[in-house]
Amino acid sequence: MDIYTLSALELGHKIAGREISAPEATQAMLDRITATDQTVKAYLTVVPEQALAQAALIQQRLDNGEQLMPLAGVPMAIKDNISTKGLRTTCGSKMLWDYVPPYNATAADRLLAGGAVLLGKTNLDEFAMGNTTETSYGGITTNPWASDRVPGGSSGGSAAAVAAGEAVYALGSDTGGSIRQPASYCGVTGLKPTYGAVSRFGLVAYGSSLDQIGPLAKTAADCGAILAQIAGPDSKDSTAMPAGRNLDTTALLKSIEPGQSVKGLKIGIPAEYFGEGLQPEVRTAVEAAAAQLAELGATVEPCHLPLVEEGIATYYLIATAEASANLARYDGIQYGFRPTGQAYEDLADFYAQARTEGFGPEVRRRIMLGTFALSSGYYDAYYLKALKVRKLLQQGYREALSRFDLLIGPVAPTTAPKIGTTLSDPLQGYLADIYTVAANLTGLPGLSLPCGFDQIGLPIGVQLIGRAFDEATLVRTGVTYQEATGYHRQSPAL
Amino acid sequence: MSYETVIGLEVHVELSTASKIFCSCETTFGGEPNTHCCPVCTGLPGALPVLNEQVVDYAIRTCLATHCAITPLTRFDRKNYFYPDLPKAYQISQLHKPIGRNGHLEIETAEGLKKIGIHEIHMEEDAGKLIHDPWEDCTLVDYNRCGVPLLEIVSEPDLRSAEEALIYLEKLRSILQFLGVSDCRMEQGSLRADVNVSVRPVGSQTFGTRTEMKNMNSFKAIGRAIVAEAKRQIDLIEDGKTIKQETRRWDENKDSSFAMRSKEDAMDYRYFPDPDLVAINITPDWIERVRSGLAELPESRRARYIADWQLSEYEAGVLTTHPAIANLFEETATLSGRPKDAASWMLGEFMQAAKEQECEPQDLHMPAQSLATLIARVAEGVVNRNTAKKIFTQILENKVDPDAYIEQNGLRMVSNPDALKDKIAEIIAANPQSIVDYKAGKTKAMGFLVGQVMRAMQGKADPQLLNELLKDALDRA
Repeated sequence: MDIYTLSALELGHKIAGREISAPEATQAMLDRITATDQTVKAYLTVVPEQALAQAALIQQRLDNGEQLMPLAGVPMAIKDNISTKGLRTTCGSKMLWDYVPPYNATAADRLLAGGAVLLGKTNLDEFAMGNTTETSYGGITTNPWASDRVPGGSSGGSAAAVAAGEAVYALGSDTGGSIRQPASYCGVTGLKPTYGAVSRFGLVAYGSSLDQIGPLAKTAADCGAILAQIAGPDSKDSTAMPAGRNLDTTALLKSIEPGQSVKGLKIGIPAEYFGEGLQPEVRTAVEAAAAQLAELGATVEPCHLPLVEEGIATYYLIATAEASANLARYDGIQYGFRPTGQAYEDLADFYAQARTEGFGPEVRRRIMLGTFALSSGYYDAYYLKALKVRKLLQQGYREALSRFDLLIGPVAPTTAPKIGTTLSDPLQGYLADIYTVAANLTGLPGLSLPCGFDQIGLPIGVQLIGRAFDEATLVRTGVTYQEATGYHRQSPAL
Repeated sequence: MSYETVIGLEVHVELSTASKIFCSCETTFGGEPNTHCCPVCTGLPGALPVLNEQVVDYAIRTCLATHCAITPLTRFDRKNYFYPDLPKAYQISQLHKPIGRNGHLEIETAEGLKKIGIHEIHMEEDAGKLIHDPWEDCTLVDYNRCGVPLLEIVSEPDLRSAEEALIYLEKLRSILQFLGVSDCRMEQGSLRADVNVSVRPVGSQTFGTRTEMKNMNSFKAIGRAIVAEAKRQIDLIEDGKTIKQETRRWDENKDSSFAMRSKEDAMDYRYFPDPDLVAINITPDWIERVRSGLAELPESRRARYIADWQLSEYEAGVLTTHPAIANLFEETATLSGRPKDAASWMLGEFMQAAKEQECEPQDLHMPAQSLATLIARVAEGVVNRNTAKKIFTQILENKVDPDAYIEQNGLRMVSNPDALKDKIAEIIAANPQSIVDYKAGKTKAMGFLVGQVMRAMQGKADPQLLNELLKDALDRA
C-alpha cells in the first residue's frame, strides 16, 4: 500500500490508530512530490523541513493523548492565495513573489490548529484569475492525467497535487468555479461551500462577494471532514455567517459516515445545463451519474433555470469590478513588486510602472474591465445591471431549490483542454465557466464529483448544487454516490 | 450690483473612539510612526475590515443632535483612488446609503435664529499621513492615522457669510464636544472642513459656480478664505470673466488661494458597495438606546443655568463653550451651593489663568471640590478674596488642597479688632501726609492707607473690618 493513495480520512484513521506515524506519512508525501512534481509542477513552494518538524510535533501531541481533529497528521497543501504566516504567499504573481504574510488565513489556522501538516503552497492562475493555471508567474501546472493538458483553474495546483498523490488533500478557493472545475479536470472531489460558511480572512481577495475557500480531496467524505474543521463564524470576517446561520457541523460530520442513503432526495436536472457546446461524453457521463443516483433511491426530474447564459457576463462584470478595487492596493508603495533602477516621472508613472510590470496580461485585462464597469457613465449600464441580474438569478435558484433538494449538471462543458488553447482565446475561456459561476453569484454550495472519463481517458466531473448551508445533503449524496462508483478511486499513471 | 455669498461646509471630524473603525488599533494622536497599525488598517493582502459598532453609536448620537433621519440599512462604499497615504487604494466611506440625511442646526445670527440644513452625515475611515523629509529628499508614510473613524457632516448651501459659517462651525463643534463624540482639536487635525463658496446677485434664485477649498483646519483661516474667495469671484464677474468650477488651496501665509485642479480633472472615484462589510441594521431599539444616553446639549444647559441659577445670557454662554468647562462649573456650583460665585470664578480667574498659561480652558487642572472649598472659605470669611486668588493659583499650579494650604501658610483672615487697631495706629503714625490729604477730602488717601495696612498684615486683614476701623481712626485723628 502506498500512503499517497489513501484518502484523508483513511490516513487520519491510520495515524490515530498508530498504524502509520505522522512523520512517516509526511516523508512518503515528500518522496512522492520529489518523484512526480517535476512533471506536474503543482507546487510553487514546498517546505520539507518545516513539514517534517510539524509532523513530529503532531505525533508528539497525539502520543500525549491530545484530542486533535480526525485528519491530524495528514499532510496537505494550501493554494498560494491563502495566507500562511511566515511562508511566502505569491498569488502566482510577480507582484507578490516575495511577499511573506505576518498571519495565517483563518481557514489555514483552523486546519493547522487541528493538527494538519502543511507540505507547501500550490500553483494557481495569477490572483485566481483564470481557469487553466496557465497565467501564473510561477509557470504552468500540468494535468496529471495528460501532461499536455491543463489541470483547470484557478486552483489547478491544488487539484493536480491531490490527483497526483502529492497532497492528501488541499485547500483551494472558488470565485467562479475555481475549486469545482479543476477538481473535475483532474478527477478529484472539490467542494465550494456556501458563501459565508468559511471565513475569507487571509484569502487574498479577487471578487470579495464571490470568493470562498474550500477543500479538494479524493472523496466527498474527506471534503466534508475538512469543511467541518474550517467552517464557522470568525470575528475577523463580517461576511462569515454568525453561529446559528452557519452550517450545521454535526449534520455535516454525520453525512461523512459510511452507509448513507439518498432515498427520498429530490434532484432537479436543469435543461439549460445541457445546451450547446457540451462535449457529448460529458453529457453522457453526467446523465449516467443522475441515473445512478436515481437507482440509489433519489427522484431525478427535469427542471428549468433562468439566465444560465447571462450568468457568465454577470459574473465577469461583478468579479472584475470588485477585483479592480481589491487589486488596487498592489501599487509598489508598501510591499510587493516595485520598479527598481528606473526613473519615473511622477507618482502616476511610478504606479503605472509597478502595476504594468508586476501584473500579468490576464490580471491587467480584468482590472481594466472592472475599472470600466464602475466608471462614471457606465456604472448603471454594467455594474448595476449585473447586480440586478444577480438578484434574478438568486430568485430563480431559490425557487428551483424550494422544489428540489439538489440540482445536478456538468461542472464544465468539456474535459481538460490542451495547454495553450485557452490563452489564445480568452473569451472562449470565459464561456467555459458557464455551469460554475451561478453557485458563486447565488452563494450556494457546489460539489464536483468524478463521474467518468472521455475517450482519451480524461476525467469528467458532475456538479451538485445544494441549498445554502446545507452542505450536509451535498456531502451525503457524494458519499453515497462514491460508495456505489469507483471513478474517484482511479489514479493517473505517473 | 450687490452680491450674496453662498457657502456650504463639509466638516470632517475624527471620532474619539478608543479603537479604529475597522480594526482594534488605538486611535491616540501622536505616537511613533507606524506603531498604531495592523494588517487591516495597512491593507495587507487578505485582511478584512470589521466594523467597530461604537462608531455607529457616535454617528447616531450626532444624527439625533442634528435632527437627521437615520438610514435603517446603512452601508459602506469603496471610494477608489491612488495615493500613498491610502494603503488599500480605496477609502471605505458612504455614498449610496449614508447613516444620516436631511437634518439641520439652528444658529444664532445677528438677524436672529437661522436654520442651516444638514444634507447628510456619513461614516468613513481616515487616511495616513505623508511626511516629506527634506534632508533625504524623500517622502515617508505614517499609517497611524489610517482607519481612525471620521464623520463627514455636509451642510446645505444655506450659509450666507463668513460670520454665519463661523457661527455654524462653532455651534457644530460645541455639539460634537458635548455629545462626547470628538474632542475637535483642530491643531491635531481632528476637525477639518472643505469650504464651498459661490456668489450671486442679491435676489437671484440660482446658484453661481462654486469653488471648493479643501482640508482647512482653522476657523480663522476659514473666515478669511471665504471673504477672499467671495471677493475674487465678484471681481471676476465684474470684469466680465467666468468663474471656473475648481478645487483651490488656501495659502494662509499669502492670504489668498490658488487653483489646484479643475472640474475636468475631477477624479472618478468609482464608488461601489463594499462587499466586505454587511449592511448595518439600525433598529428603532438601537436608536432609542443611544437617545436615552444622549448627553445634555449646550442649549439646554444654558437655559437651565439662566432659569435655575439666575446667570446672565453671557455668563451661561461662556460656561457652555466646552463640556469640561460646563461640567466643572456645574459641579462646583452644586458642591459649594453658590452658583453665582462659581460662575464668577469660572469667568474671571479661571479664564484668565487659561489666557496666561496659553492653553484651552478645558485643559486646566482644577478639581471642582477644591474650587468649591475655596468659594466656601471666602463666603465663610475664612480667607479674603485676594488671598483666595493666590490659593486658586496654587491649586492650578501645585495641585494643593485649599484647606491644608490655608492652615500651613497661616492665611486665615485677621478679624480681631485689637490686632487691626494696633496696626492702623502704626500706619497712620508713619504717614502723616495721608491724614492731611484725607481731611482735605482726597478719598485716594484712604485707599492708600488700606493697602499699607493690608501689606503690613500680609494681606490677611478682614477688608470690611479694616475699612470700618481705619475710617473711624482717621475721623478721630
